[in-house]
Amino acid sequence: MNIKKILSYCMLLVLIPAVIVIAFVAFGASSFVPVSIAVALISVCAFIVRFEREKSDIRVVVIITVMVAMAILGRVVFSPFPGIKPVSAIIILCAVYMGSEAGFLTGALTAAVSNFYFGHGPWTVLQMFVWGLIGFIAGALSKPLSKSRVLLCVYGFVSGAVFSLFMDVWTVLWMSGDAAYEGYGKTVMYAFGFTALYSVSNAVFLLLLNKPVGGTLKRLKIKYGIEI
Amino acid sequence: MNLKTAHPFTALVFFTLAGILSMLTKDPIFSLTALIFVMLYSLLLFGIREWLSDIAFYLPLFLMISVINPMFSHNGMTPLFFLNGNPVTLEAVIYGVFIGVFVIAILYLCKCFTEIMTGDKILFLLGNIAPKIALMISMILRFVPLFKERYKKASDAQKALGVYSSESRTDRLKCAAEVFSAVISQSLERSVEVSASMRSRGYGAGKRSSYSLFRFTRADALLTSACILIFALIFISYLFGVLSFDFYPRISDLSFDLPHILTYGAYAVFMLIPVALEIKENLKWKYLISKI
Repeated sequence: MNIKKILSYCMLLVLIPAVIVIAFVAFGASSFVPVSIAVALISVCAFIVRFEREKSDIRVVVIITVMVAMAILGRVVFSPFPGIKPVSAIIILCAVYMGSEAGFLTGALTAAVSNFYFGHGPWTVLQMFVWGLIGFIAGALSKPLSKSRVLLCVYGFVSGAVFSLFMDVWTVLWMSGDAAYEGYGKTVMYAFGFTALYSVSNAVFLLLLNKPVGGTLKRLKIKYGIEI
Repeated sequence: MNLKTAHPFTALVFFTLAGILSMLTKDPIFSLTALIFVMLYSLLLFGIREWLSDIAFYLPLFLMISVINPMFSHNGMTPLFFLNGNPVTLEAVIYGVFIGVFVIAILYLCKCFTEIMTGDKILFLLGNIAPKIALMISMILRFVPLFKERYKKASDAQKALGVYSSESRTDRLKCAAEVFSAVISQSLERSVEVSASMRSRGYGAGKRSSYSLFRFTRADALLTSACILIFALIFISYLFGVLSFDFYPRISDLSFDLPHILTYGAYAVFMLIPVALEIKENLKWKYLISKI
């Protein structure tokens, strides 16, 4: 792991949450919404700029687009079953086998493009950022996650819960200004069943898809000599 | 010209500035102006029927948002009555209504954004600054219907074989999961062929050129600079504290002195731009038809 990589990890995992927390403490809850949008926008843009600059393997690029298209199709196909979505599972699998950069891109592009179908809003940027981050971290943990199925399921469960909770916090803060703290506790309680279903379905999809999709990705990597 | 036929860059500038302005301040007149004009615009864009069905969705949401705030927030100086021992204050009630207006205005704005900024326009804008991402998005937009077709084929084949053919919910879910995973590995296997074909046709060999039908006309330049100019005026008055409105602890007084009226007027003109263009375009169309 070189210094550049370590720096980008620090940026994503330490600096950004720190900025959000500082803004929260310094300007109060009402600044949370604009600050979070700005932070998400900047980090997504920074990531895209880096990706555009470096030379990347076209095979990896096409694999990412296939995974994104499947994630979007998953959002459409499973729309009769609320809360049960394979999207995070696909992002995590792509990240584990293709690396953290591919993971971030898969997450961010899935959010951006699927909202052409589901409608854009201020939440698009946040979804891009959070899904991207879930992919990025999965890629960073790819060694343990690809070895142990239990760990993979735990990661899927936790990331599903984090995604759901974060988007809920954000929506509540956006819609209710400063009444958030108490309101948020209630919202979490109302949304508990939904969040739980979403997290469990994530873990189940990871179990189901790990063998066919993860196996295929691994095979493609060996067969065509794709290096991450 | 209206926003739909304008250059994508012009439309993007308008929507970005409109988004920033709508989130800039807590001034109720500002939010009300935004809501009125955006509703008018979406009436012109979507027609009366979709507009009415939208209202059926947004009105309950508005009521919910405005009721929730005073129930949870007990800030403010003027208690109206007590609910379970907690004061419900005048400030919180009015702030709830304001937040309702604010959120609905932004939701309407986003709906118009999704209608105007279609995939091809976003691709065009990205093609200049982020060609790789633009290529990926255009491939994704192609892959989704293609995979949908493959998905349907696979699931029909399963049904024809008599597997998962019952109507029960668990069976349908199982079928969806199974077919989904089959389609995904099939598509992944095929994707390497796509990339090999791309490489042999010279992808990555040089700078990609692109073609588009959009032309940045003089009218676009005029519209873009008008938007930026009005935005700058409003932003300057914001920096001078004209729009510093607050609900807590006590609601600020609305003032209608010259700077305020000028700022509100500028904002109204800004939000009027797409509406006026749309009306002008409609009238022109009617006039041309009447001549046939």
